[in-house]
Amino acid sequence: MSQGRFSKTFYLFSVLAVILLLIFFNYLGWLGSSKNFVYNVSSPFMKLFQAVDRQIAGAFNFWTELKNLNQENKNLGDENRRLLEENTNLKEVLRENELLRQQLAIAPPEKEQLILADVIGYLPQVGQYFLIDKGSQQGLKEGMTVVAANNFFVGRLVEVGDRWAKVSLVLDSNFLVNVLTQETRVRGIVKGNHGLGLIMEMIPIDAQIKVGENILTSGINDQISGGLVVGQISSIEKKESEIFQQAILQTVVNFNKLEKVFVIINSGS
Amino acid sequence: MVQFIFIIISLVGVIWQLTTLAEISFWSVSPNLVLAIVLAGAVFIQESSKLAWLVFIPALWLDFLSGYPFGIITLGFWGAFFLVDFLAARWLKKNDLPAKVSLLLIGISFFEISQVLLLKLAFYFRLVAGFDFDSWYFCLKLMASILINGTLALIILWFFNKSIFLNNYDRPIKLR
Repeated sequence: MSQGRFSKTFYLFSVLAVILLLIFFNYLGWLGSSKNFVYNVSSPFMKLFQAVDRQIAGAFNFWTELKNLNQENKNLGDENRRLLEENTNLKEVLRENELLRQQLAIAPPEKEQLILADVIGYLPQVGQYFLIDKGSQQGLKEGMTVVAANNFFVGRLVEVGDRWAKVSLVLDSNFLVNVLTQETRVRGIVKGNHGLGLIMEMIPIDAQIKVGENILTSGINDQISGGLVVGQISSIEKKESEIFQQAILQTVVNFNKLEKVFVIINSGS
Repeated sequence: MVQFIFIIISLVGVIWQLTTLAEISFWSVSPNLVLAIVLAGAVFIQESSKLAWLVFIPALWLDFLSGYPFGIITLGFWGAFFLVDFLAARWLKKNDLPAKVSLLLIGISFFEISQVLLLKLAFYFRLVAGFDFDSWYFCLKLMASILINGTLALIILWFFNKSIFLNNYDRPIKLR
């Protein structure tokens, strides 16, 4: 064996040994301070890059979306009128609910405590993850639920550092969440469709679900708060030969444009 | 000095990867700048160079900030880097375009396949919650990745070749 080849082989295996050693150290939890260091160094630059991106994207989007403004305005007006009607009905239901609670002497549900965090990084190559700028110093723990404004479900904390945390998004195909349909109350499981959207599976073939129906987290078994909006059914795929049907969901959150999220630190449910 | 500059550039690359590039996607595949840097480095850097370890700094940095169990990305980069280096030294000449394109194609394919295999291994060890593999989707993703990341790696390689600094500074890295 020549000197050059020996040195190259030695080099190859020494690099491998270092990587495996680091994996072992990480398994033992000895790399926590290194991760905090990496995050603390990267964080200001990531925030700067995000801010510049949003400025540029904002200016670009303004010009590209200008032509659709009239149609969008009309759509929003229609939606506004529909929501106004729905809101009025819901206020009536809320009042009725309060009265019933008073009569039955039931305490009002505990309010959830939320922590606001900035999204500072996004890694869609391997799975679907966010980095946020809050961590264990702010009371965050692994497994906590992450939502966007209006109780839209985003994901779950999978790793928490001192001042950072990683959020596994519902879009990840390895992320499973128990759900139910809002109107027909059919249970199922939602998982990511390889970054292309969401699929609801394990729906019994005879269950009557509807296109346009909202899908909510069920809060059963997976430590995720119940009643959070996951998506809306856009189409249903049903084969008579199978025992389950599946539904394709439209996400309610534009994950690429999320700037801020909330972490639920105590679930009220 | 060249080491310092390479480290700074690669770290800026990682941050750019996590912010701007993450928002650009074609068929749900985002450009992987770090993979492109590592493969371009494997084709460009002289095989006996002791500076090859530099390419692992962005890989480790990205691994620390990624969501999957630590090591999956770095091991993928390690395999792709040494495979390309090995093939380049034995069967392919690095100094013509078809050879460079073939090397990059092999490197990207190896990286994508290694990610799936390592993830499956991590699933067996219960380091990830689930493992969902769809061969049809994977083939599409692989093709998109080869197209996007291969183009990106060729651009970076061109940049390396044109860089007076990388080629002249104390000859730490030799232009082929």
